Amino acid sequence: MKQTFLFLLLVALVVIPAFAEDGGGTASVLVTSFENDESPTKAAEYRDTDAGFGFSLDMYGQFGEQGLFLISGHHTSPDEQQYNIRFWTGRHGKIDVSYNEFVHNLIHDPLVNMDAAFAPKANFHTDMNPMSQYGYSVRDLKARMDYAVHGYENLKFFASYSKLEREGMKQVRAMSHCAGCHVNAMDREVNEATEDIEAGASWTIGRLRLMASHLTRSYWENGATPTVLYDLAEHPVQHTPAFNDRISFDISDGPQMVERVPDVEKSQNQVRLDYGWDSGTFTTAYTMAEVTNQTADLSFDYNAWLASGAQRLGEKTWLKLRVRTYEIDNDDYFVDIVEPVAVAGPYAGQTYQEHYGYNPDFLRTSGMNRSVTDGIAEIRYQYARMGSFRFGYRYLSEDRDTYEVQEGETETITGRLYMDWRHVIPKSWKLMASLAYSDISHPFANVNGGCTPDMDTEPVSSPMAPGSIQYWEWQDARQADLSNQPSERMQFRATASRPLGQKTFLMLSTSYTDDKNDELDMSTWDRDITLASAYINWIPSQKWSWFTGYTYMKETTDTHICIPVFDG
Amino acid sequence: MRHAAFKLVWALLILTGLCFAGDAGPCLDCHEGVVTSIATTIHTRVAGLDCQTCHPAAPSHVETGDTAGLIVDNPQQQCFSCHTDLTCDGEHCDRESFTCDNCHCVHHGSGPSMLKGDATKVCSKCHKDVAARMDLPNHHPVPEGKMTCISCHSPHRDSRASEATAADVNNLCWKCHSRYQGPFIFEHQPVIEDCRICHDAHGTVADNLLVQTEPFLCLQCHEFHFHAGLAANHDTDVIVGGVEFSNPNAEAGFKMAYGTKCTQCHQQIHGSDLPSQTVPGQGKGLLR
Repeated sequence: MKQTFLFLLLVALVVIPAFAEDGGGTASVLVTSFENDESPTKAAEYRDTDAGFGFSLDMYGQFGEQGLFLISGHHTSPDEQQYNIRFWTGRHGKIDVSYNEFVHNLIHDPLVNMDAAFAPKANFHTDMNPMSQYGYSVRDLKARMDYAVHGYENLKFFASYSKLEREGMKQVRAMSHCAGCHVNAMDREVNEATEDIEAGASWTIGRLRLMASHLTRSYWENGATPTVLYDLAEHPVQHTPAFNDRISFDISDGPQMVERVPDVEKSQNQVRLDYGWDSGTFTTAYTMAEVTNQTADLSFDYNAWLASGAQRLGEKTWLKLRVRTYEIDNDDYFVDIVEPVAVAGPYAGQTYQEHYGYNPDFLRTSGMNRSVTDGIAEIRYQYARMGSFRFGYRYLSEDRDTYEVQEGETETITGRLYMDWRHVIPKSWKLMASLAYSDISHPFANVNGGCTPDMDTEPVSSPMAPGSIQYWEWQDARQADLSNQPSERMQFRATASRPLGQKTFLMLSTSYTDDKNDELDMSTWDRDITLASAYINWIPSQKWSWFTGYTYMKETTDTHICIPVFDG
Repeated sequence: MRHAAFKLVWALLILTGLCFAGDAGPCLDCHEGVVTSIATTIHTRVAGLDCQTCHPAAPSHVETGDTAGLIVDNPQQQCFSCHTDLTCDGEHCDRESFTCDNCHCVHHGSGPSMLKGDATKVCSKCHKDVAARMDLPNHHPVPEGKMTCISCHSPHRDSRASEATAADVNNLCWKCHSRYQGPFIFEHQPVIEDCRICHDAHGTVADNLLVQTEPFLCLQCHEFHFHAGLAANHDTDVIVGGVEFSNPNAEAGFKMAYGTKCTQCHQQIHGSDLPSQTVPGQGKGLLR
């Protein structure tokens, strides 16, 4: 696909300008150089680090009566290129094709922190590809065509196609339990693509516009799914096969897949109505979509509805109202865990369930299932030609079907009060400030996520000893709700900029966020973030711009951390 | 071969690149710069507009030099008279102090959207705090020019209203990161709840756009792995079952192993269809 596209692009770049009746443009040569002593992931995560020559071009041309094309291209290296071609044939047709390719360098984790030993237990790692450099090439192709029928200019059609590809290598890891923990790291081929095909139409009648569209999205990963031979299931201390009743698979089951990425299909339909009048606008839209994991045969669907309107109230005031609701419904799935029979030890001949009375099988009801209602009421007041205030309130209710965010509570309700101010002094300061306060009842949390009480004062020799407390029992006994989401949030933001002479601009900004969660049962969570920046932009000519700046950020978090001390 | 072909094509284009001025018209005598510039834009070439379309008083101005009426009272409505598809109900459009020409320049604008510079620079003029976040070590490739703000945001519509097509913010992320969309059999609740619980798309200090580094981010919702409470041997190497194992972190070995980076083991943190290894764990460990 890539080679064909590049060939067609080259033909277009040469042939199209030749047919132009009138046109022009600019071309430039770039010299790139990059020096890096260590991993490029920090200094140049998205840069091709090969030095070399590049080229840049912007062209336009006219053809026919109302035909126009724009071509732009930036070729920094074979792995870093951008092209865009647009055609217009008057107001009736438009074609827009763009191609963007760049690299994304990824980290190779050496895993050296994993090694630890406490005889007779050991914890270790194996990096099967220690010399591999990870990263992939990202290729993004987009094409869209708009067409209005001659004589029926109010009826417009569009069709679009896009394909986003990633191709390269990343690190994948897998962990064997038993006999000490063993983390294996290996190469994982990435060859994934997301392909969108969308088509739609709009019909304008006076100031009413109706629009309908259909989108099909396909995702696939062609990179081979890696496999791992898991270590032998054996007791971590005694190194006997007495542990295999609590492990679903080990080396005796042969290679096991890890990081299997499912193929996904998405289908989405949308209808939209926009209506405008002299002093306001109204929009309503309905969206219906289904997403299917084809590998596991799981799907969820959602239905969303939106209504939004704005109305001028007198000369200086605007009112805006918006409400949106959506529902997500995901399939249930019965998880049947493989339960081997113990071959040795005190429970030989029994499964884990048979001797501990614990059934690991369960019906997975998705935490995705929910009903959401979101509304905004907002007033804007224009106190001067270049100055305005905005006041607003947002209400958001997220009611989950099953997932609890507090004991017995599945609904989070957010109320957000906000205001902002904007003022421009011509040829001087441009000032903006905003302040928002949010009150969130039952914010997202991991209910009973930590802090097991003191459950067993009698030390036992092994978790396999009769009567010993099992790990799932420790988990079930956890009692502290934990979260990194606020029940109260205060946000302040201000920016200011002004010209310093003819060619220099000063830009300042600051923001402060104070988050607090006092709804947790055993602790209070608190986070403050301060960000400030100052930039000076010097533009001596249209083609030359110098930018220098300083950013300061400070973040403080006060949270409850639970460290269980026991040997499972 | 491909390099050579590219360079040849570019050289040809450079050699054949010529500049042409647009049609002059009566305004050219005094406003040569503006007229020459606008002659190359889509407004003149495709829409066939002339100066009078937006400056209705231009003829009298040519006759008398009077500037009255050259700029219409509500220039925004002037734009909407042709751009009917921009039902502007967003934060950017419904006040007089914020009109189309804040971001677009009909006389000198660059590219087909006639913006005052590339999209990211235009947005950064007001959203400086967001631009500052883009300068943090981990960010989407916006400063590198591989994405722009409008890759995710819709400046002409309410940014939240645009989410109606995507139901929630996760759907916006899944457009490019479809790998994590699922739906998966084994879920991680914050992943399906809201990507922003763990990630900040505008920029972070931590890798992978995480709002905080591991394990600190994870430990705000989960307790430490129980092995982290163990001390390792003081020795640097240990014989286990007749095999020598390294213990480079000495006494802190298990703390380093289990308290450094949770995703070294729980790699499938975004969800998986494959059960993890332990029976009592019900396959939920997101380890494979």
